[in-house]
Amino acid sequence: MKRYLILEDGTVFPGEGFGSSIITTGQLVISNNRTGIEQSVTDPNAEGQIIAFTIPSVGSSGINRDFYESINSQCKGVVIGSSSISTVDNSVSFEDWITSLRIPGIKNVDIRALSRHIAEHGEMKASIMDTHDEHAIDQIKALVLPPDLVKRVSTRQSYPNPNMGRKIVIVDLGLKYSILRQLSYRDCNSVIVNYNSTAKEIENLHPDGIIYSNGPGNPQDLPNVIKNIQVLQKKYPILGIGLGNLLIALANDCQIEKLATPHHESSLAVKEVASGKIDFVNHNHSYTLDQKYIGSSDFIVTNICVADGTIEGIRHEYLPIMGVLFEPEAAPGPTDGYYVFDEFIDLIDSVKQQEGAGNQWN
Amino acid sequence: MELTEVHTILIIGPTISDKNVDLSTALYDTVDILHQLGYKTSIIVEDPTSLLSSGTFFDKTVVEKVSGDNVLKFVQKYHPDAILPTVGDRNALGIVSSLNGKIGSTKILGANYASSLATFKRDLFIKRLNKARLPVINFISSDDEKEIYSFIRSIGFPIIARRRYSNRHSSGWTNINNLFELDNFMALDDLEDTKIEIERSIRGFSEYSFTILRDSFDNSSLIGTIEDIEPIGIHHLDSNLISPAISLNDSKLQRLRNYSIKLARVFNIIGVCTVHFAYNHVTNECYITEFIPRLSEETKFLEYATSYPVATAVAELCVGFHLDKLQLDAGNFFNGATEPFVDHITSRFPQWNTPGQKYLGPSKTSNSSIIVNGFSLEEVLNKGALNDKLNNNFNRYEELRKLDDDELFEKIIHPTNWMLDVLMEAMRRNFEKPVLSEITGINMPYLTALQNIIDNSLIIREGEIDGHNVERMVEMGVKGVGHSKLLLDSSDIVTKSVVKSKTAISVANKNYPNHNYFVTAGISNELKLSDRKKIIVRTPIITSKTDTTIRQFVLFQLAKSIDQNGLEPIIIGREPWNAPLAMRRKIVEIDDPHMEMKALNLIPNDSILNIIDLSKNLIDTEDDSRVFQFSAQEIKNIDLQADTSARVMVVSDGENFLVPSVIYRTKKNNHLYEVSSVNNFMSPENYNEFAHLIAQELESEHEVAIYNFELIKQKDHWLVTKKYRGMTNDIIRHELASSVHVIDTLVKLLLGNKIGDNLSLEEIFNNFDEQYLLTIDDKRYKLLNKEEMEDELKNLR
Amino acid sequence: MAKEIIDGQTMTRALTRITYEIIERNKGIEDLVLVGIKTRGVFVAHRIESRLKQLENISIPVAELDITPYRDDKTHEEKDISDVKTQPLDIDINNKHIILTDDVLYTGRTIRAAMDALMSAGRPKKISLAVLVDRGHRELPIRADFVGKNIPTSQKEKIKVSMKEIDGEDKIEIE
Repeated sequence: MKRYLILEDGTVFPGEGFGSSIITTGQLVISNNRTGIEQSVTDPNAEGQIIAFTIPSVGSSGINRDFYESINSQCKGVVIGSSSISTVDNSVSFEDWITSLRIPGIKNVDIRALSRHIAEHGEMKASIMDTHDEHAIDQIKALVLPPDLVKRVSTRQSYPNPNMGRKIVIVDLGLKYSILRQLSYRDCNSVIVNYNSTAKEIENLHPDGIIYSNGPGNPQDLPNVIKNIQVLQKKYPILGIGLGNLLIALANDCQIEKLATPHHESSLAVKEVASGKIDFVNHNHSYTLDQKYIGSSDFIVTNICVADGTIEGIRHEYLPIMGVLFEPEAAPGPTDGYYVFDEFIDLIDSVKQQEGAGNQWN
Repeated sequence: MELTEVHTILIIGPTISDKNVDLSTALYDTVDILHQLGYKTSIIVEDPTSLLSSGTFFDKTVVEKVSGDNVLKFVQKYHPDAILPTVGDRNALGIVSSLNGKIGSTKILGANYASSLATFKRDLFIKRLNKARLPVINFISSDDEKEIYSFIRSIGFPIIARRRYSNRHSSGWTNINNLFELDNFMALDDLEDTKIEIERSIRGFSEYSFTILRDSFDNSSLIGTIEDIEPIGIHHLDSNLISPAISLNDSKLQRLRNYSIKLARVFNIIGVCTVHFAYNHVTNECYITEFIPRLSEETKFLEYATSYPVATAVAELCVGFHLDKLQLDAGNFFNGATEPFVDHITSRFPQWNTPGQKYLGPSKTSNSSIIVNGFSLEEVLNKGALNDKLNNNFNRYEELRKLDDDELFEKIIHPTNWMLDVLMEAMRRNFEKPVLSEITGINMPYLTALQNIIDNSLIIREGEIDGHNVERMVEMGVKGVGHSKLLLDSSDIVTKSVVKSKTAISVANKNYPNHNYFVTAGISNELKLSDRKKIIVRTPIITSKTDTTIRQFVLFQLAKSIDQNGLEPIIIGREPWNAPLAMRRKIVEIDDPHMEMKALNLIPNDSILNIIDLSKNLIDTEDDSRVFQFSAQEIKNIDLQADTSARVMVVSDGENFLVPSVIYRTKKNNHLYEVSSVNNFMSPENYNEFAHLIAQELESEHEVAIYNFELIKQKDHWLVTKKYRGMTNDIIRHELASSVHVIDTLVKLLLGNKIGDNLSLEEIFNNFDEQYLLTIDDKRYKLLNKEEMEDELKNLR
Repeated sequence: MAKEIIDGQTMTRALTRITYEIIERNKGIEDLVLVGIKTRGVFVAHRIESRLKQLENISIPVAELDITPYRDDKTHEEKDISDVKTQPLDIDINNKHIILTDDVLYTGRTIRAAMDALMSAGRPKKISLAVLVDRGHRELPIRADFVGKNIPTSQKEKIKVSMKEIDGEDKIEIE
């Protein structure tokens, strides 16, 4: 069935509908991920987003249900160019899978023209509809995207991911399961809590370290979380990922800015400032830290994006706080960034050792 | 950041073997960047025409057999700081592995001794990979039954096995899938001293290749992935190739990426490394089958597919550059630390010199290839493998239709280069797709793509075309000209058949300039042209390595000259060209397999100054006043033979002419000698005689043109036996040998310049060469200076 | 047979981590001096120095220390005993915070010798110790402030540290 992808500015891209036939509206995001449609569609960061995948022949590689990043998909729609209805491993086809998730999709869209348009005019709202008239465009313009994205995706109740190692509290701002997979692999005993949990509630869990997870939306909409960080960072090692990293920066007098070219790409080079080592990692963020405020802050820049110089990682000079804007858990993308979890665990151990040493030597 | 101790580099050049891949563009790019960065380079090469340049880049050009001995001799004489084997194909790695411990302080760049040796020695390869815990097919060669059975127990069925006899011959590989077949194999007569070789069978696995770049600081990036449509068992280069690998999901892709990077680290390969994998999508078994630590057909294909300047980057990495500090030319940085992202599919399909069906197997039989681009599998298959005019693609359909089901089934079991057509015919007869996939080892997405193509061509045949169908068909790359007009007239929002840029669209690569386009379906038209007047060059389809070299050379000289004369070169063809990097940003390359460009009217007619047609099978009658037929047309041919002959290239503006190059050919002592630029050794009488003959031949010609004459010497007099308008294959020899550039002169004349009246004979035959090419038996080449050549000529006369 | 226990990447990460820890615990790195114990300790010092420079854009002085004449254990593994020249430190260490660097921390005798040498050259404010590997078996009350990796070993085993600058590649092997 012929359907249309209509952008906020009135541009219309025709295509063929698949999946759910409902009319949908959301923030349009261009994803240059090579693989891992499964992860992207189930990523809580996709809350409120229509994702346009620019890779060709979407679906040929099959759908792997082990790749889920949350229990339910959060995504409002998918846009693709060419696709395949059969798969190399005889798993369920991409279109059937999207249908089963009740997500509307549109295929055979000129994905190149779409991605160029967004690169030129910036990210905007869009809608997948059956018609393309003035009325439809007015409707999209009038729609206000909800600001409480994190509230929608964060877990309502705390839950454990038990193991026998270090105790990590994860503040769920839109947690991807692969972060838990990485922690499990390192024998961490984690507890996942709602984003609005108070500092006291977190302290009562007696963590060895705290992770502020990735998540959707603008960090400035989360003032309570920032206040919590200001209290907790004096007592515990903290790792911020994506949105979590932005919140840590805001809690320490840094400012953030919107990226001219948002990073939505599963393999983009990041350089470790100290050693010059280059890693290819998954990026999924539209904000970054404002360079102007970093110099006077207590943070040092540990990682930068090779392509555009964006800050991708920071570390506090005196406190055991570190953060990365890219997604060290990959999913999808190269596994080069896994070391961030090792570094965080080293940070926790080093703090413990210091404390132990302090008792012993002073 | 560069290797401070390396200043002089010896490049191991290509051999003339027809079996080798044409790496002339990669070689040119390599030398170009090293030259710009201030390195002194020398080269050992068998055929100097493969250098694409008259050698100005090189400190020394040694024309010799490219062998270990000659490389060693060079090293002992000139002591270069380093040897670069990356552009010398497999032969260069063989040479490197023979040089261990013999070359003193001279370094090997790129592929070191151990990695070179491991590409030849199977046991070493297996041992190193096992040690590094990389997956490799284990293999046993033994005459001890106990050992053999224990090995089989450890790997399980299916296996392949063969007997190796004491005379070093061996039986063919036998497939063994179960105990019964194993018993049969083991029960065969055992001769004395026979060893049994057994390995895990990977027949029918899918084949992938991953190419990574690595710098000397252990940073690696995956620059491209390729998958074969045909399974393991059919040579990679006889298969239809697709890039990127569309059938790998995230965990498979990352697993193979990590293996590739680890392998390069294990062998400490700096520069480039392509790793081949066999992958079974049912069991998720995976093996590394081969690795190639040098530039190759794969890197050439990926450079075309992704627009990443692989050859240039590899040269810089080899001399110690950081992956994120690469330069396109001296001073012009680009972000090399990128894993190119492509939103399109590029496909390479093989070509054979001779028509007819070819059975395919583990040894390569194809002679060349054609590359096409598109946005869907259907589009690249339609533009590429299914539109293979040279191999009479259209007759295949008719021929296959005549077969009965059993005969067709036979063709499915025994793969030929007609496989895709065979599969289409089978699907038309409603053979089950999963069954076809299992028998042929061709993955389901391809069969579905073929099915889509069948369904859509049925619509055409039944005449039920409406706006919607046409749009789909254009997307699928069905020949578009007529249909795209229908689309243009439609009032609905419809896609049009337009030109699309092929630049990788990663955010990292946003500023990398590139002018490659391909005709496809879509809304936007990205063709960006300058205000300059244009010369369009139509390129030929190539079928052999010699043709490739000629095309590479002529296109390069033409494009360079068009650009230098202030015009914009536009290269259009089935597969236009893979231009050297220095040229790539100055020309517009458009690949147009269905020849739709003209109908699309995207290039303003009045901006086209001229059309130079290199294609041998395409004559445009509508626009003939502007079309210059470049390829030779025979005008005269007298069948006369003589021991001494001359080949003369003449450029004419319609009134006057120049003779910048005369090649002299003579037989002596059963050898055939050929001397370039004999102009400089000719007597005034000779000048007179030649000029007179040429003037006679050109009396009735009044157009700008190039002529080729062949003259023979009979009874002390010269006689014109052959006359061609246009360029013959001699062009490379003329152009290389002569310092007066025939192609550049031609472009200038096409622009309306005149040669001028009243030139003296010396001026007509003028040629200020300092080096001369002597070719012996069309095989061996020597570069001589004037005195040496005079001596040589005395001997010959 | 030598068995690789730490590869180049892990070594790189360990050095980076030590650098972060040095920054973290020294509120300001202005009065730091890195002193590398010959041979590989010097490379460790240089690598930390280049990381500090990349991160904080400040050049920290690096000195080389040849402790051979001060040593009381001539049999110590990994040390070249043929070279007995005493080289004076070419920088002022008075009132500086010195970070002594070495590749392997074993009995502690090398470090003691190094401290003797430092004390004879001036009066530093503080001396800290950073090592790539701590393998245990201390014979003196010495403890490293910054450790790349703790590797439990038996006294019979040997730890071999290879570094790119001198050995062509980065790795740590045990044999």
